[in-house]
Amino acid sequence: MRNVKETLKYILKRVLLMVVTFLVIFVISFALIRALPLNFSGGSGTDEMKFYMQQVAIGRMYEKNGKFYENPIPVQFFNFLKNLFNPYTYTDPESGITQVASRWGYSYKVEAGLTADQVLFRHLAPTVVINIYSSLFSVPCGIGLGIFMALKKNKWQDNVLSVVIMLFISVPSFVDAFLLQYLLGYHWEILPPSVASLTENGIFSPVMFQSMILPVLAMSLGSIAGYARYTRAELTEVLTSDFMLLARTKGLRRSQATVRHALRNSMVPIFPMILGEVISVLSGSVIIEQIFTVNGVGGIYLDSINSRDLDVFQFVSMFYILIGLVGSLVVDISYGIVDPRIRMGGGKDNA
Amino acid sequence: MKERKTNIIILGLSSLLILTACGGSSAKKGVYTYRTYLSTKPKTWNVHTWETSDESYVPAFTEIGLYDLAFNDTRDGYKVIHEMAGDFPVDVTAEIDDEAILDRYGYTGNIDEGYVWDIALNPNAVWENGEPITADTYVESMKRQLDPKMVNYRADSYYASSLVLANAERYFKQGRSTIEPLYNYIDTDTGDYNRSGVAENGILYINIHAGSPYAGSIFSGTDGSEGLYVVLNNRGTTGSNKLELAAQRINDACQYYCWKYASHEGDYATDWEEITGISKLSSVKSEMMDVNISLFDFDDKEVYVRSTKDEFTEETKERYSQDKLKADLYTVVSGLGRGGFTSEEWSWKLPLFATVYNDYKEDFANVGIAKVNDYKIRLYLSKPIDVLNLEFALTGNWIVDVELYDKLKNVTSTGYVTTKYATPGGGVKGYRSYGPYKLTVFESGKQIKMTRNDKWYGYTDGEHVGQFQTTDIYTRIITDHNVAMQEFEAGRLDDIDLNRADMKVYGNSTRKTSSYESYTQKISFNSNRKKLLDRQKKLTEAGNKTVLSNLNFRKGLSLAMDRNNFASQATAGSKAFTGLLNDLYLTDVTTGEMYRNTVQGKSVYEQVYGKLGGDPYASDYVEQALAESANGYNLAMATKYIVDGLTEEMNSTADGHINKDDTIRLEFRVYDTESETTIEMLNFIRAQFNKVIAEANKKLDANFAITINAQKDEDFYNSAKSGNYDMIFSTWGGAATNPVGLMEVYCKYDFESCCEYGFKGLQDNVNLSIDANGDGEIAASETKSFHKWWTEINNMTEKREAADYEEKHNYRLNVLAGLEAGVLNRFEAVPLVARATTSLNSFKIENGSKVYINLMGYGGIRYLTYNFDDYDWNSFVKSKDYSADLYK
Repeated sequence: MRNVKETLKYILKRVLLMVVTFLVIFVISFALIRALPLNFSGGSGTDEMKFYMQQVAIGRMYEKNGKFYENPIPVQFFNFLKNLFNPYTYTDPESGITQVASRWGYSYKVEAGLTADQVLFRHLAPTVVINIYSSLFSVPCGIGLGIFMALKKNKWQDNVLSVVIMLFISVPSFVDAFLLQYLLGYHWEILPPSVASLTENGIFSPVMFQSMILPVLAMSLGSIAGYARYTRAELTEVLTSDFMLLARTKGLRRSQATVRHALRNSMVPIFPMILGEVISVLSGSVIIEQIFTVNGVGGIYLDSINSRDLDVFQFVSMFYILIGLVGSLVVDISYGIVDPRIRMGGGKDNA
Repeated sequence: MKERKTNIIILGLSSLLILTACGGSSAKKGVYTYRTYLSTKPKTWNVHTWETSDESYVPAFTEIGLYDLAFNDTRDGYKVIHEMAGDFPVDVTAEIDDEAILDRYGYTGNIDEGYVWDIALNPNAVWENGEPITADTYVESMKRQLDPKMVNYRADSYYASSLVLANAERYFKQGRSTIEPLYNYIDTDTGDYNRSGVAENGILYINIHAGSPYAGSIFSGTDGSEGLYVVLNNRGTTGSNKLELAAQRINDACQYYCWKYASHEGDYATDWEEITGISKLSSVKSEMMDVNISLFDFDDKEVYVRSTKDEFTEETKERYSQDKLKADLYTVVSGLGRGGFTSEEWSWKLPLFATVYNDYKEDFANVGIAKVNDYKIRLYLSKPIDVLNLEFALTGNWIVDVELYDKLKNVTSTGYVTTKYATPGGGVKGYRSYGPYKLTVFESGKQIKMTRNDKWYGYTDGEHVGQFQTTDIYTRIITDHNVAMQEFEAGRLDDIDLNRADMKVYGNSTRKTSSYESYTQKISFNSNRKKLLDRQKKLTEAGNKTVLSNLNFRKGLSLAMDRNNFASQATAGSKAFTGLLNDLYLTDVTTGEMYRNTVQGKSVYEQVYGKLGGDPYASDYVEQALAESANGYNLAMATKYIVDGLTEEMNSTADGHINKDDTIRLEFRVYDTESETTIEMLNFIRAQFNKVIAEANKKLDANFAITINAQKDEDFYNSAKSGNYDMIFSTWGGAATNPVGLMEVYCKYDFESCCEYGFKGLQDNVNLSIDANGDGEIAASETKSFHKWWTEINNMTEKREAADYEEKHNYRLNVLAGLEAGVLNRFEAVPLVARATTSLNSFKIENGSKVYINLMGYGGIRYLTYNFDDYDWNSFVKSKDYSADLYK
């Protein structure tokens, strides 16, 4: 009972800390994003005045004496907060429709006219689905491979697989992606080389599933190698422990001892990795998305920063920061669940 | 147990194969799909807001202009046809006599032609849903285009181009605050400001550099960009001593104020560092004083001016004030002229500026577009235009489905209004097509699909027979070039842009086409010795940069570049070129006269390089004709000029001059140092420069070396503008129909984005002699500054029907060629290639023309024809006969 109380207290403390951390990061990122230079690039065929007028219209700059200056960051921050709590309203003289401005701002470049949250959520589905498929494939494969290697430790199977795994860990995922696309997509024409249209096929259609195989494979190979290596290392250590010898001498078969005792113990550092993987399904891989033309979050994130679409960039950033903070909290809590010996909230007096 | 495992594996593989088998071909007989790609992601296709060319991609198919260009009957040129217009424009200027109308659109003087045009609309034009497009659509769409709350990016197309709708700018700018020349707002009767916004604000400014209409009232042939500085310093010697002194004092006041109180950051920071006292103030240039100084500042701050003519020293300085400035301005304005106004009480205000709060309410009814009847609109223009230029201006369109447009409006926290119409946010349902194709899918960052718009009048009017054979357009967004190439080779794309590497494989393909752009890629050298010296002093290892300020040295570098090899080795289809205006520029759009084909255009090569050929050191050296003039390469001559340049510099006594055995260390600022193309280009240039320096060393018995260090700089244009560079690639071009307009880049002294720092701001000080009338002699009147020459021909209007057309046209051509040669002869802008993109077409499609035709290209989608329909093409691609090798 005392443990439960302590755990709850610990969780509450962490949640409060998380809120404070989020706000601090939010303020810092707001300032840093807006500190990015807003220089007009000045290439051929561009019009400086149009650029500045647009920046004035969206509140990033102001005009004085015919010159354009950036609004100070505190002013921009104040305006943001003002709109967050009391959004601007406007009645269109042409249509008579009254509009309330989005609290989170608008995209004025990457998907002009949409609110920042709409932009993110429109692109989240393909990213999430590919990541889920990738996790479902890579976690069991990686752990299974790791177990196999641990059981075959120092035999030829272990050696061969270790070399292969090192290869996949060392080679960046975009190289795998290009190779897979070229070989399976273009050369042998076994699988579609790019992801099908989401709007035409729906996210769970067979066509979509089939077209996602290559990006899922490309994203999974590195993960599989990572899981296999960790599982092998942890399991190898546990398998040589004294208590395993005891378990065997008590009459358990090797498979029984491995599954019931060794595997569970070796999962302590691996389980948080899996949790992290689950949480990261919301994030996109810019390069993989580009190669397989996945219309996901990664691309929109990159586009928003390149085109200084600050509201979108900030919303997406804060969304991921929130996911990251929640993720780290869940991972920390999960240690106690996986291994009851790990106690939470243990202060000095509880030591 | 093993059997169970095997079953699971078999089941898994079977599922995979079944899934893999899904999604067969859907190619149909009689369907002609043009399958292409974009390497960038268009973020909108709204005609009111598009910025980049990819954003105008969709409207190119789904919308169509009032007028358009089509092949002429012999398919070797173009003609203007009417599309959304029912007929060609009719000039009705002479018919306008209603006082109210004349007053509304600001027609004060005699207007006889070119101001008011009637455009009959095509009554068969409808939206994709069959609803009619009427005059109301045009008028209401323009209202949204110019909506001051929306700040639409393309609004200026209707007031800052050749087509200037009356009051459009005023309507668009209402509600914003700008600094405007007071001259425009002075009441000629009362001498007061005639705008409430100006009067209420009451703050007057002096900006000695900013363009003022006042200068135009003093000098003829100005383009409105001249400021008070030009008036004060170019008033001739006719002024009285009192006037001279007043002019000098105004100048002093602004120089002193800017020296003491204005920010010195930016382009002229180093120039300001040299201003150490009153005695140095005369070095402050006009552009360093581009500051709006409130007149109150002359009372509030200590500002000094001279008290004696021609003498400004610590001894002769006098504390200035607002009243003294007024008095001096009064003296100058009264003495020089008052721009046609009479009241001397307020004439001192003429060259000043005031904050103008555009808080007026301009009614859209005053903007120069009106409905005549359901199928006719009338355009009231502030600037006359001829029929051909009007037709060109109206090849674009501005109409939108206003109901849908308004329904999709959003508002931001600053009151900025946007619309989701024709954006990914609004999607296909948030857009209406009215051109030959209608949009069916727009999946942002993924694909765009368009299909034949059966409601388009062109399919039934008998005027478009043999055009628009394409039934569907399937555009994919493929940002990775390798993926696009693999798709093309697999027969799934109908065209592919080739890069430099592809050219090695497909360079000889019969399916290859090159599309030329009106852009010239050149090297811009920094020739400003002072800037180069500053940069030289900052070098971490011993080296020289100042040699780049030597004209002969730069000319030598230019001649050292074999542009033919550069084009073939380092570009994808660009063409060696040594001019500023390439083959695409037209000097007469009616006849299709190409500038480069004119006698004047051809003369430029010789004016720049003379006749190249042969070794100038050889005893039998004879200047041979420059057959390869566009290549601009001659190593022997390059060596000669390099030797001359190095010798001059070695003999120089100037600080930081080059010494024998020095290494010339040049920094080449580029956007991306990792780009393969950039690396290839720089390696080529390095090799050529090393070669010519090695040759020069032999002649001079010296040991010079040259290094070119690539420096990544994403803002390299701005770096060049401020002189922080040695060399950059700069690419400039413009509308092919307006070559004179493009020369602004090189000839206008206050053109902001000028990349040739050594010449920047000097265009109004450096004179150029041109045999403008072509009589073989240079008269006194034929020596003018670059800026003056350019202003003169830019303001010239030539009417084909006029008796003196030929004479004026030739004059203009002579000056244009003279200016081009004049700029090139400075060797700050060294052209390398005329830009082109090369693409490969699949065997499925055929262009409408085998040769590239100015303004028409190869005919585009209008004339695209097919050798296969989708079904037959798919069968062919799957057969053994098909291979990507067919394209080689």
